Formats: sequence, structure tokens, C-alpha cells
Amino acid sequence: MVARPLVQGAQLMRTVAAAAAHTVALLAGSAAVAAALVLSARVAAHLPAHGLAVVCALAAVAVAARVPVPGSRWMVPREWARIGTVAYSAAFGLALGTGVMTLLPSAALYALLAAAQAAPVAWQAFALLLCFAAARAALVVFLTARSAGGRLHPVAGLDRLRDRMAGLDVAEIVLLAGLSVALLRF
Amino acid sequence: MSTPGAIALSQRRHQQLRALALLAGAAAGMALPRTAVPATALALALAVGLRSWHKP
Repeated sequence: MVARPLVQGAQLMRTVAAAAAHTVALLAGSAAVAAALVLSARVAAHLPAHGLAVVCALAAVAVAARVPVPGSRWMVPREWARIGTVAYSAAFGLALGTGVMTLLPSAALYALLAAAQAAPVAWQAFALLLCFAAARAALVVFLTARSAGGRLHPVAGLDRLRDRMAGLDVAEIVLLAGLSVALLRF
Repeated sequence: MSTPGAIALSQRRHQQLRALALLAGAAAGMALPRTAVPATALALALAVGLRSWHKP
């Protein structure tokens, strides 16, 4: 038996368009932050390697100890959904792409921003933040593609996926601590 | 369904795992060559992005 998609026709098209708008806007938001960091490095100065090492160490401890870190408490207003699914997804993606406009995803984001600011060449800052954006958008793309493939509803298995992704804090800690020690050595 | 005891045990294990990750990361940093630093930063960007995934 062939499984039928639970989201079909015009609704599927809207879902795909919303996912595409979300992804593009997310990448644009991150690119804008990267541009701002590159500009700040040119106008002022790059963060020195030892400064970046300290930020990484603090972020590693904050993630390990689950210390709440200061950041924006703003959330994309639900009322904005009135502007339409695609436009709302784009606005949501843009806000998420900046990383700092909405609730802070992880203390490690500060280390990532510091690394982008400290990057010796501009493309490295863009690569870092676009990598962050692509990963942040990846699951929406995956869920939409899975739904379009007719296997499952877009929100099926969301909680399990979210739990698995939450387990990445261990990877963040390893990478932050590693970067911190490595940068102090050079 | 998880009992409160099982949840507490799971949380304690994850706490120990995070502490271990801190030590393992620091040890790995001692051996990390300079050329591997950009790739490590990219891996961090991927981990932060995946962990902070949010449904619109």
C-alpha cells in the first residue's frame, strides 16, 4: 500500500513555499549579522584569539552547568500570522537567522558570534553564520520534504526530534572546551 | 511512561555526561592542531544551529 500524503494539493504547496521562505530568510538574517560583525572588525578590531578562548570557555561552562545567559526575550508575535503563512514564515526565519533577536538558543551562540568577529577573513565569518543558519533551517526542510514525499504529516515525530537535538549540548561543550584550550595554546 | 525517579536518574546521568564532555573537550583541545580550528568552529556552528532548531 502506498502511503498518501497527509498534507496535499494547495496546502502542500503553501507548506513548501513557507518552508522555502523560512529557509531563505533565515540565511539572510544570519548573513546580515555576519556582515555587521565583519564591519565591526574592520571599523574597530578583530577579537584577539585569547579573548575568543575566554568566551568559548565561559560558554562551555554555561552550557555544561545550564546557566541561563542574558539575551533577548522577544518572541515573534503570533498576530503576525495574519500577514499570511509565507510572509509570516519569512519574518520568523529572519528573526531566527539573526540568532539574537529571539530567545537565545544556547550560550554557545555568543562563542559563535565572537568567532565570526575574530575571523581573519570575511568569508570565514559568513561561512560560520551561514552554517549555523543552514543547520537551524535543516529540520524544517527535512520535515517538509518528508511530508511532500507522502510519508508523514510535517509535525509527526516533532517531540522526538526536538529531544534528540537537545542532546547536542554535549557536542557543543566538547567543541567549545576544545576550541578554548586550542586557542590558548597558539 | 517515565517515573519521577527514572527522570531524576536520567537528568543526573546527563549532568555527569556534560561534566565529562567538558573534560574530554579540554583534553582534545590540547591535541588540536591549528589547522583544525576553523573546522571545529564550523562543527560548533552546525551543533548550535541544529540544537536551536525551531518550528515556525
